[in-house]
Amino acid sequence: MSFLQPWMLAALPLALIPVIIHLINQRRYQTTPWAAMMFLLAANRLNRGYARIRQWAILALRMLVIAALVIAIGRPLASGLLGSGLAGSITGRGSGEILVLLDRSPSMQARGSGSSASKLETAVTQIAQTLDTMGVQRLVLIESNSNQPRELESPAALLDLPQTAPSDASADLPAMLLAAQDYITTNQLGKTEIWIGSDLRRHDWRSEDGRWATLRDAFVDLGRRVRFRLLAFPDPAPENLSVRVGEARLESDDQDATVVLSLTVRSAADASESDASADSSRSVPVTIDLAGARSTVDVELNQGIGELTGYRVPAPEGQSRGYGSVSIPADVDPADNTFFFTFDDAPLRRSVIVSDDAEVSNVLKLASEIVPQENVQSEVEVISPRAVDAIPWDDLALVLWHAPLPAEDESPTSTYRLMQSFVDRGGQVIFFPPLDMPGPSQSTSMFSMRWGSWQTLPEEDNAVNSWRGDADLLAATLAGAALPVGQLRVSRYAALEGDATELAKLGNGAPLLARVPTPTGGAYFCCTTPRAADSSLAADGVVLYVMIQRALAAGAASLQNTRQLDAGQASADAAAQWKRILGESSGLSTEQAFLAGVYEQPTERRWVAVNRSDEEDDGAVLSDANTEELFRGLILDRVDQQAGGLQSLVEEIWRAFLIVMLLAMIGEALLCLPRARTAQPAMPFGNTLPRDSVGGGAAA
Amino acid sequence: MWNQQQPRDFLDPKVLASLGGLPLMSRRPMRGNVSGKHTSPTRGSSVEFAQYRKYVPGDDLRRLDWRAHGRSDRYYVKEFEADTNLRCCLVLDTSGSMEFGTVQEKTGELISKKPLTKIQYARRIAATIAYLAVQQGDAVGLSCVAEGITKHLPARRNPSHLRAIFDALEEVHGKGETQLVEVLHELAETIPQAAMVIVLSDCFVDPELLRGCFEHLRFRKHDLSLFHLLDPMELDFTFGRPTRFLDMEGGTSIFAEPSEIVDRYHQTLREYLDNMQEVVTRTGVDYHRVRLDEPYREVLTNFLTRRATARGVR
Repeated sequence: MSFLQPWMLAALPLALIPVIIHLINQRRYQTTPWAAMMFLLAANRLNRGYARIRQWAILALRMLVIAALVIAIGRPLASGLLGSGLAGSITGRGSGEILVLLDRSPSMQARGSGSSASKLETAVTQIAQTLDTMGVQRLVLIESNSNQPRELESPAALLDLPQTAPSDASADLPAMLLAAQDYITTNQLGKTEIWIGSDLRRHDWRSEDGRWATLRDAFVDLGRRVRFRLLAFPDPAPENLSVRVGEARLESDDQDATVVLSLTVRSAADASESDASADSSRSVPVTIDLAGARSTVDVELNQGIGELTGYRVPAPEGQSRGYGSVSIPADVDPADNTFFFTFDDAPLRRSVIVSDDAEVSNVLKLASEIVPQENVQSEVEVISPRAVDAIPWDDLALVLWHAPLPAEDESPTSTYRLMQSFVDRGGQVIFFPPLDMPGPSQSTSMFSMRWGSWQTLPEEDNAVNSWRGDADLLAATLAGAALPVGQLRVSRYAALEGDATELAKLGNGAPLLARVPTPTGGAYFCCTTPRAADSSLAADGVVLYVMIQRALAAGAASLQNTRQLDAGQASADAAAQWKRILGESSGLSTEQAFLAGVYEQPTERRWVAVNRSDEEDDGAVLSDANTEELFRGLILDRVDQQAGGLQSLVEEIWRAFLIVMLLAMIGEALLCLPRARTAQPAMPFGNTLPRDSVGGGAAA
Repeated sequence: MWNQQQPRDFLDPKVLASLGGLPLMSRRPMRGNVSGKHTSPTRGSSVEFAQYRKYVPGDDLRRLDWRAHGRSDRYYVKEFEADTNLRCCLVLDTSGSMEFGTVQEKTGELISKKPLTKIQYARRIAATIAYLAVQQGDAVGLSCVAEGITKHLPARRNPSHLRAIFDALEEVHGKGETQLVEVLHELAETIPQAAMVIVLSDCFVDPELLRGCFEHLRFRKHDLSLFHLLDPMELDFTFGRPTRFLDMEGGTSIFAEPSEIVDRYHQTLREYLDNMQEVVTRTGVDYHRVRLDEPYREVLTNFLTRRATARGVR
């Protein structure tokens, strides 16, 4: 049990007042000589047991009355849920510095069974009520969209802020905790509590992320000043369905245009659970809304997954681009019932290879030229490094640069500046090391990266040691199969100088493929060439082909008049200028980057479909062991709640103590009542007998 | 009979005057050594006819009933009751408990500051009985009992002996534990011939122990009377505040909350009094239970009247 006014407990010794009064009363006794001691001794002996018990009971009840009153004034809290954990803060050992980390990801919009409140609403309400009950000195909100600390005036503000409303962007818990740690350090907070409201989705928590080790160390350094309170909603919603559009493209011929859709309906129940219901396959009606025209198609679910591939919907007449949405009937999580999409004519995938080496250019040309989609055209041009001025930067999707890096030149028409503008526009460029590496004095840099000298690898180190298979060019396939990057053999590589994200590393730890962090577009450095003397990129061509085609597709997307973005992927400032043309318009304009819908970019007249990320449809949550491991060495109080849970985190129970006090008073009064006198024979002496009967006993 | 210059506060002339017409009678035949008001087990020369007896040689011829000889031609001797005096032994309990008393006496409009103690009350009764006994020619003795016999005056009928008794009564104070049982056994053996034994005590001993004493005295042909003195506070136990009770006979003290034990106290006291009543009834003791707030004149009037009525006054 804990208290909101713990200083009142200092008054608990007042409960000793009855004992003190009793002792004083006993010291104020009268002393009298007494003759009839034999009766007194007998009476005292007979009465000792009950009288003592009664006396102690009365004393105990009186003490209980005072103690209950003091405790009631101290405003005790029930010890359920966070109650016991709150003891530290409420009894004065904690502080009023509270940081609330709120997971606003789409999965937090799932509702509980029999309740209309979502996990997010429940978390916000319970945290606000609890903090309001506790009272806080400083309240800071860090929500998953901005990851920026925001000071609030009162816990009640949590209920009204648009920043606590649902979002379609995934959360990044490590980033939120980093922001919290920065805030604590910057503001030199004392004892601080970090309240986290989350459904423990694995992709939001990113337990494999390297930042966790840094975070843990940082918080451990803060010592016991920081206490974590995790309000978790880990309960899955197996009956939940989600819909996602994999592809939406416009196919047009001379007569008409058709939108080809590929979509997936997925049940949240895992495969094992789906097996039980596999026999009774169910169909889900999917509504397709295309420029206001609605149509419905049933999608059969098999083992929890239903796919609709190449579904053709007539496009509105006369349109070369458009947007729409697909939706499924409402279920427990409304956030994944609708998916927005845009479509456009597939642009020409134009790429340029800058190289003087025929072997390299031939391999790269082959890998660029053959596009997997039938209706997509591609065009590849090989240009000598001496003719880079002829590169048509405006309609390029990909540049494969196998030449010395462009010299730094800030003139607007220089290759250096044009390439930067190309990448800023969304274009992709992959740099390969030139065969003749310029000397150190002539070495140039691009995107703050610089080639070093060629290095030869011994045979035992010529394999790729590790690579990032979760994202970017070397990501695994949609089916989950990893690319055969490990089969590659690299005999020679060029050292790379600069700060870049390594996507693949060689056996000796040197980078094989690195990406320069850029706001848009992509700039990659591949540290070897497809030459047979340098690597097996050409012989084991799958990796090179996938790499180039992915870069080409990403670059071509920048040429389209439509885009598909994950919520939170675009800059919030840029998205604030967008105009919403489809989707719920309840959010703030500053939150548009995080809200699903279709938007129009006013400057480029481009349509952008924003949706939840693909990982949101994966319902995996952190296990308890994982959670404990993430907070190893830190003070964590965890409470598992359900969406719409009515049980309060803390509950004042002073009324119970008043009732206890009342009962104790009644008990004390009953014990103090004079005992009922039983009818006893009259004393031979005393006022009960007439005076005549006194005296003259035996003689009479 | 005693020095009038030394007033005894335990003697009230008014009481003596009011009781002067009531004789102190014995319930049993007494063996006195002089003529008195009490019957004797032997035949004597009083005016009260007792019986006829056949003449045997040696009888006093003056006692022959010649009229009976004339009617029956037989010799009968006419016998009369013998009147003798008695020995009155006053046994006064002078243990510490007898110093207890709470009754505030009223003398006219004045209320005495000092409460009346049991020993004061007993002193008045003893002195009055002694006076009355000597007045009618009986012998009076006094035994003071505490931890043994602390003072003993053998019974004498000499009026000057009365002063010694009064002096003894004046000096006596309650102190120490009572050895009433042992002393009564001792007196039963040491008092010669049948006598009137009057015990004045609060009797705070086991009634079963007293039973033996009483039977012993009865066996020795003594006429036993018991004035059982009890203070109203001892009977009512009307204490309010927590109280430490100090044993007046030197025992340990007890701290008690009176309200807690009053019921048990009354129950114990009632059982004691019932036992005492049963003991005195079975042993034929002339028992008088006395509250200290009763006027001792009424107590003595009752005592003397009952005896006179039972025996008949001559």
